[in-house]
Amino acid sequence: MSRQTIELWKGPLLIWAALCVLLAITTGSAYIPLGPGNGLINMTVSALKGALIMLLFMNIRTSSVLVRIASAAGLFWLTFMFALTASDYLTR
Amino acid sequence: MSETARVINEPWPSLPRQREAVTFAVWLFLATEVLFFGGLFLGYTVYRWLYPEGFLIGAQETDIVYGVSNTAIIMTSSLTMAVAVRAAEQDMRRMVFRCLIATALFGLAFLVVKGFEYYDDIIRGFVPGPHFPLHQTGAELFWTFYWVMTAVHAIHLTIGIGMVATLTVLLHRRKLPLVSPAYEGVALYWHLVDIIWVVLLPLLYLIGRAS
Repeated sequence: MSRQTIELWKGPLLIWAALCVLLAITTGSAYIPLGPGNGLINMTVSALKGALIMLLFMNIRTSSVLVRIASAAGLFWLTFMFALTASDYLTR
Repeated sequence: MSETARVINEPWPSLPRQREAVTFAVWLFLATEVLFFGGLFLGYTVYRWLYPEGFLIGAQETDIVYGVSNTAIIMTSSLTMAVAVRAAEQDMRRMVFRCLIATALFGLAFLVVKGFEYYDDIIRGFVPGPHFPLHQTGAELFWTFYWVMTAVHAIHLTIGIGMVATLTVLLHRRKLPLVSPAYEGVALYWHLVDIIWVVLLPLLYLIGRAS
């Protein structure tokens, strides 16, 4: 294998390995009764995996400010959607 | 004609400007996708809040082996997709070609596993309707979300496979130079479909396992 090929795969493989470790953590912990802790671990791991993919695979870490703003837009309005709905259902 | 001149379109004065526009536009589209799936996630959250017992009982019947295997498969497809984009930047044509094929194959593998899973679900009767096997309020609703969310995700993945296959053919026929921003545009979409699945996994497969 050429040096260039190794250099090419090294970074993405590390990210992939991290994603696999996170998948193992979230799957394993699902079988341990932790009450609300299960949901917390699941959501934290999902957020971490999403962040790894977005920052490193989708190159947000090295993108321009314009692209970063666009990438945050969906999540920004999603928080409004959840917050406004929660203000109804959680306060009844 | 140089490769750059071949991929540059009106009205962009330079390739970096066109690349920036493609990335920006794809991200805007992905924002609408996030809100589209967000509506489903929100509906799921509200009903799970209203019927926690029914959702747990319903979720215990999904097959975690299929769910986790497909997560591993789709994460690996994201790896090959990311390497394809990096290889395109370094002008490694053969590597881009191989990685695109691998990505499309991993995508197909995901759909095949999903097909076996759907078959099992249908055989066991977990199709919302008059003969649904669980009677706890909310369990059938959970399965409605399961079918809609996974089917909409599978449609997205199918479109993704089509786009990756198109890139592969165009690359093979030397009609799409490696400097084209199309590789990155398709990759962004592919990674988003991966992220959606990463969020679906705990909602549909991991809840209710410990109880």
